[in-house]
Amino acid sequence: MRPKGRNCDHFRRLSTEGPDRPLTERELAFMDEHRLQCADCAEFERTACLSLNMLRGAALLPESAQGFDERLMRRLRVDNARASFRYWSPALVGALIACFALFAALQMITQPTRLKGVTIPGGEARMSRAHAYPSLELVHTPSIQ
Amino acid sequence: MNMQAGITMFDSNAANLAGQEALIQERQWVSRCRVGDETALGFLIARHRNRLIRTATNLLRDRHEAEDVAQESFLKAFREIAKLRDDRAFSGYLYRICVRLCMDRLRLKRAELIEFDSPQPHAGGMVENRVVIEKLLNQMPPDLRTTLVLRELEQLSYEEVAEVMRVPIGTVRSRLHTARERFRKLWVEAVGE
Repeated sequence: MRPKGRNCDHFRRLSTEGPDRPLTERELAFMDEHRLQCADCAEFERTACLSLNMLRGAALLPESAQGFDERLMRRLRVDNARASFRYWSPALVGALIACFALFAALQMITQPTRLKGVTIPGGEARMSRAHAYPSLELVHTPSIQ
Repeated sequence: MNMQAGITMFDSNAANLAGQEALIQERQWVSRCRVGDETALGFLIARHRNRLIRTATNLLRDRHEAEDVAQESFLKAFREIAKLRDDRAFSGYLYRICVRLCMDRLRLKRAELIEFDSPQPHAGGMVENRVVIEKLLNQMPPDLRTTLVLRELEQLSYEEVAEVMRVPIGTVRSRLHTARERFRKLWVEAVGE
């Protein structure tokens, strides 16, 4: 059912524009005349009208959205909480790192360079240094006979 | 006759006044929403909920998905409410978000359909209208489908469709022409007329 000529094109354009704007007397007269002359265009108009009517008749009406508001409010709160966490999380991480660094610095400052001697009752605490053991001189190594 | 005309005029004036009052109220709610007033949020949700769900239902042909999209639209609109320059534009802004989200979902669905399950046209018979319509709409590109649904089912004017879809009116006109023609062809094939 392809348009045969310019008249058919014009007729089809008018038939699709028909629902959107009032057609002029001249356009209506042209359509009436062409409809009688061209069976294909008449069929086109009929099927176009039927299909659109069927589409309009198939409009879905939403069911009552029970609990929609509550669900949405809950989602909004969760969303807000997440957004604020996302907003503040870099600052929190930075603050944690700063705290850790400060703590480490304080530890290093207050830490004594030597360990304090601990006196254990009934026992003896000794601080010993590694003795410098005499090294064997290879020249004086006794030979084993 | 004059009295009747007077009553009609009074009615239209009253309707205009009510509309303006509602707009002013909405503006106040929007400005209260900016500072995090939950009551105002509730009012805005109650005011726009039904329209959003209806439009999304007709576009997606799935009630549950439509509800989900409506919720997402509200979330997105409230998240970006601070960026809204004019409080009066809220309802259009919200509606636009909803239509865009629906179109995104339609694009995804269409890609899945083409990849996995290309639907066959129905060979005629006693099948429920809605199922046939759903199949036919699924075979249309999202832009054409959205234009057709907004115009035919949501009864939006050309200007409104153009504003919602952010395209010129001429584009709406040509898309609508193409969409009607394509829908007719698919319908003829499916119903076997």
